[in-house]
Amino acid sequence: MIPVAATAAPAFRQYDHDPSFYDEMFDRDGSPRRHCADFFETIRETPPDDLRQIQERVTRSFLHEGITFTVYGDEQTIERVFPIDCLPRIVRGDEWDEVARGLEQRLRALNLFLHDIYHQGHIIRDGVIPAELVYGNKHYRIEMRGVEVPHGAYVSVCGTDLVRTHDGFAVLEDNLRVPSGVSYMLACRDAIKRSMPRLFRRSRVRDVEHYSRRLLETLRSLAPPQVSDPSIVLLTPGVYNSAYYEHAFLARQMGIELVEGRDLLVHNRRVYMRTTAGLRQVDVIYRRIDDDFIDPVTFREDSVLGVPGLFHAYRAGRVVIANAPGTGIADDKAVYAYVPRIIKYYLGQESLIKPIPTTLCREREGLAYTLANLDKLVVKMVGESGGYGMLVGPHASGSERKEFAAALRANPDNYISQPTLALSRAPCLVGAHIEPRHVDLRPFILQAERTEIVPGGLCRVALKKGSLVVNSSQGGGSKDAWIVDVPEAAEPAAAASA
Amino acid sequence: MLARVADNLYWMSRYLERSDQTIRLLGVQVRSVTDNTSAQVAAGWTRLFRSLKVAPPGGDPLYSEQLEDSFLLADAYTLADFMSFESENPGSMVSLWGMSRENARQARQEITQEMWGQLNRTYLSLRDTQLHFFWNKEPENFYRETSAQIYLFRGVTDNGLRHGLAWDFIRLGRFMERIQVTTEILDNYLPALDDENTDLDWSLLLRSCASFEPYCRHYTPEIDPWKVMTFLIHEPESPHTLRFAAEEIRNGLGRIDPAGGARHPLQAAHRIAGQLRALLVYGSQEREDLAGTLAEVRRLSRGLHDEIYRRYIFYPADQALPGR
Repeated sequence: MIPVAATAAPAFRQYDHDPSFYDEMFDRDGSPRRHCADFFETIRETPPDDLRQIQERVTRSFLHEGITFTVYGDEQTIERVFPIDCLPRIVRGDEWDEVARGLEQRLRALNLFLHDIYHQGHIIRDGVIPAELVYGNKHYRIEMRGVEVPHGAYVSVCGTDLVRTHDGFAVLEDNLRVPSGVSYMLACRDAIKRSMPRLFRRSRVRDVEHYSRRLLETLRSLAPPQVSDPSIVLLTPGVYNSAYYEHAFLARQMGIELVEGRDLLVHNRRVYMRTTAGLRQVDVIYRRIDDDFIDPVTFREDSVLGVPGLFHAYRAGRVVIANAPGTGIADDKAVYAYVPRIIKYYLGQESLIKPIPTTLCREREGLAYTLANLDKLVVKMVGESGGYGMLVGPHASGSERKEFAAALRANPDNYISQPTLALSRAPCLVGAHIEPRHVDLRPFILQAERTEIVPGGLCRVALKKGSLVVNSSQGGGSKDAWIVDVPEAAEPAAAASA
Repeated sequence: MLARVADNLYWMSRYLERSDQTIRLLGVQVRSVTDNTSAQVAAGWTRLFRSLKVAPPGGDPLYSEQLEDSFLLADAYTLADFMSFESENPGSMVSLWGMSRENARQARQEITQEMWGQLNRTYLSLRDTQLHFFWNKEPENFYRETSAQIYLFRGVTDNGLRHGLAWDFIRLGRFMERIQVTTEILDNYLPALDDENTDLDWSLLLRSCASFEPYCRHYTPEIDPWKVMTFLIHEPESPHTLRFAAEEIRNGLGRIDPAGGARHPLQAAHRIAGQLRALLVYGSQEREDLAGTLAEVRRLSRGLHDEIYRRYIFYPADQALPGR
């Protein structure tokens, strides 16, 4: 079925409108949603060749900027341009405000949860969450017990994955360790602004550019109180990490040093960096290295990326690490199922963002249900990320499902299952035509003294037709997300000229 | 600034300068194909490979005396391709740009977006270029245009980047590389100075050192070998002479570490930089001392590089701890 309003537009001729998915631009019967109307009209009147040129300009700007990622294959590693689609996903401002409130609530509860489980563990004693799920979890860091973190902000930078269905937004995953992607959001916005400046200005899009300033403020507020002008660094695994571009980007935007483990050393529980003018003390480390690798003395001893003794300096309160070590426990796929109960327990509120019903395969009925419905469910491995170790039941072949079922039976504790969601779709430019593709949204939440959420996020796109996997390592791309405010009384701006 | 990043900036700049020298030598060489005899052209290739200390493809890595003959046979296309686009050759123009870009990537937080953009864009276009695209049309123009991209990068650097430590290390890298490569280029012209029978075109040397016009302004377009040599060594105002580079290096070190060059005892790097400058400002300008001067410049500049590293980049941590 083709949207009614689109029939006249050559670019939309191949748009296969399917009302069983929420479409970000069109309503059920195929007319553009009111907050997308102006944009739709403009695109409709744009010749496909012009669209292609915009797309090329945007891609070229990513290439020149060096926004590439590395794919680790069996035989070779390849440097690829991060795929970007030039058509933005447009979200209504009032819907966004509601989501933002939900995100703030969620992160507040999760930070309280982290404080609790690394201190008295009330939530476990009160029987809200099973002890073995917390203390038996490989992401629980016993070393963090009793450590006080500034403002209780274990997680000060969070990137939550949201999906939308006909029922509204839902949280797919909390990324509480070292979430990445914010630089793509900012670079995307920059490229889009340059490629369609007039349309952008007319669309009343909320700003995201202040993210780096807010991040810097957040990091500054974490500094030990006795330090008046804290020295802040961003710790990267180095140039071979797939997110290196982002690390360099953020360091540059904030005007802080981008350090590697080998640039730092610990002496007398103080952390120093090696500068051309000798050693300089470091107060706050925004680390983009996993827990396991930050300190070979405390965690993995074979790590060459970290800094020996860093954790001791941290425990002694001489340096702040953000996010704090040990936050991985709270974004674990098994703990996910308990988040609504966690919110209720600490805040006495219902979760503002709807949870996705999650089945734990560690429970016998859960395993039986999952095995019986393998063709309908999405099964995820606990402790994995990046789209690895995951089965999308309806899209898998019989033999894939069989193989997965065997793994599942062998180690049920390791898996959870969720219904396959009808992820929303948004128009994307495919060649010279516009086709719908599945999308999600990763907003970035900053929390220390205050909570800051820039309006927007990284909108990830499953570029393969029909695919639900949006991870860049698996053929995903991204697009700009516009949060727009539509004045109540505004005329549909169909006649507005570019 | 982080010591590691200073290292990256220094090498980003050195590789780019080396690429600039390589491009210029190649441009001069392809031009000489149209102007000079085949024996002169062959001698030119020999000087090019020796100056850049690159072993020619299939040639004798020991740079034997027979080398010159083998260049009579080797075709210019193969040699130019090897020095321009051969990715297996770490001294080729493309490899040098690639290494410069890799260093820039690791120092991105210290350089501007425009600097990175210029470096990255040019690299990507060079990587996708092949010699046969232009060889039969206008090879000299290609090398000139590529050279212009380096000038553009320097302009973007000088006008966009804060003239602080990062800028100082970039400049230091440029002039360290320049003084070393230029010394080698001059050294390869030395034998011809006493050769009565030579028909060597000395304007080639001036062009190789981007100093043809400065020379003509200072003297006349009358090319005198001895004047060319001493000009390229001792002239203070032309950016490609040894003396000019030595001044820049000394001033740069003074900005990087003001105390190290002013307080007793002077840092070793500052002492050597001062010696280098003194040699080129006040040293002998007699014919018999010329070879010795070049050898001394070579020795001092190598020692200077080592001292810069020992003091500012790879210093032992226990000497730098506070309270010691």
